[in-house]
Amino acid sequence: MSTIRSREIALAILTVSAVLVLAGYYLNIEGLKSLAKDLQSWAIVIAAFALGLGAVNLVSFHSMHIIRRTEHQWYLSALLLLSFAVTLITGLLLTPAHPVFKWIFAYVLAPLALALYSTLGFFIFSAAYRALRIRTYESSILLLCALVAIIASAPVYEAIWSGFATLGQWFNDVPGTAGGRALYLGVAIGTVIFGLRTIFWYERSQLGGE
Amino acid sequence: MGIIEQGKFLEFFAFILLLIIVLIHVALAKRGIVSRIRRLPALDAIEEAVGRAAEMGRPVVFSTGWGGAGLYSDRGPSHMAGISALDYAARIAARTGAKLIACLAWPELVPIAEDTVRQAYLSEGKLETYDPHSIRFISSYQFAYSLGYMGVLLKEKAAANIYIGTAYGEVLNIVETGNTVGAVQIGGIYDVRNLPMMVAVCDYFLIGGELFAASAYLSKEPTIIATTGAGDAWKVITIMAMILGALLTIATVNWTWIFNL
Repeated sequence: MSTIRSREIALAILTVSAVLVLAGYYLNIEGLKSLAKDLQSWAIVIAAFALGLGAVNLVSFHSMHIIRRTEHQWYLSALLLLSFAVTLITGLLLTPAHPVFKWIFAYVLAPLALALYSTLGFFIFSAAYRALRIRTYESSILLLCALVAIIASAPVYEAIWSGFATLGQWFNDVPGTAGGRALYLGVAIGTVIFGLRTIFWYERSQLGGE
Repeated sequence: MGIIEQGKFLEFFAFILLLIIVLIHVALAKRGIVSRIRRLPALDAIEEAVGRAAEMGRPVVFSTGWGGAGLYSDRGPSHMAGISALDYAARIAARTGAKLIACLAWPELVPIAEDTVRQAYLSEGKLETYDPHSIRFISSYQFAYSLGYMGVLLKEKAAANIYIGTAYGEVLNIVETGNTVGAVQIGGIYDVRNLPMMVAVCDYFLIGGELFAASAYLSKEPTIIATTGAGDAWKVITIMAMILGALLTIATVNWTWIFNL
């Protein structure tokens, strides 16, 4: 089967599935609803298959580094593959509910993730330093907003005048929410338009562009 | 009970109306009447960033981000908008000889990204330079992904970091690392909580709905541009409906029954 033909079949499956899911959402037809639900369940199953693809990609990339003995990389790749194998085998042999498997998550993965999360504070500080330097008209507005946020959040200002917290809350609830909602309105419309483009075969990026 | 689900009539009516607007815009585009799309500097900068990377002999790192969920979620369209930009970046990389690395957080994006990049190299007649290992699945675990991505930026000394898709808190670690290695940074997300961080650090940025205009802007396809124009027309209708709703509420007219239809 030619590439073009297989792409057209894929697009046809995509359109039929999308129309069925949409119809199941809006229309009060029991058979259609259960079909739409089944299609959504299939998507979850396909995603689970994709996890296997991800694992193959990961293993193949790091195996290549080990085989080629890539400088400053091969031993890290070996460590990654070892961790991957240990976690996988533990999960498969002992089940994810086993204390050993839980231990890996609680005492290896979680502390590592939290350690990285804690560095976010420093990154926020350095990013804020660059963003809040007054160079343009926009950055002075940004600085003003940041000052309002700091004054509204830091307890010391509330101790000076209780109105600071109320004022800060107002900035958050009124101009902040209004701006956020305006943004989400554009995003929601953009998402629906993107979906329609896909259904009508105008958008083909999901099938490799052409 | 009617054929349309209780409480969804207005939603369904709005959807059909939007569909009609889209079809009208597409029909007009086919007759040569195409909506104008304004300049998006962030997308224009991709060519410049990839070209710079080729000159420096350093890679371009691309991602559609983590953002808490993959393709089979409400984050799917943002990931796909990122894939449109990946297609464009890959074409320029193939043309200029720049090395492109795509760091992915969701396994279902791996075959799509591989196909997109491969197709881009093929259409530029440079399939022999396509490296399958340039598409890397990092992790679906937030900070493992973030750390893996940071590692790629640092080790490869990226000349450009293109992050168009979706993001949560992990994004600041990534873009700050990109800044450390002196990469040109092009971002694009819509999440309000993480937008300020990206705007603060990135050189160029796509905000909110601009993300979904990426494929229209980059492909220059009249039909795709027409759908973006239809979206803008729908925005005007929505704003008018909001003003009308506010006026009716001020006038104490009970109109909310429309939502129960």
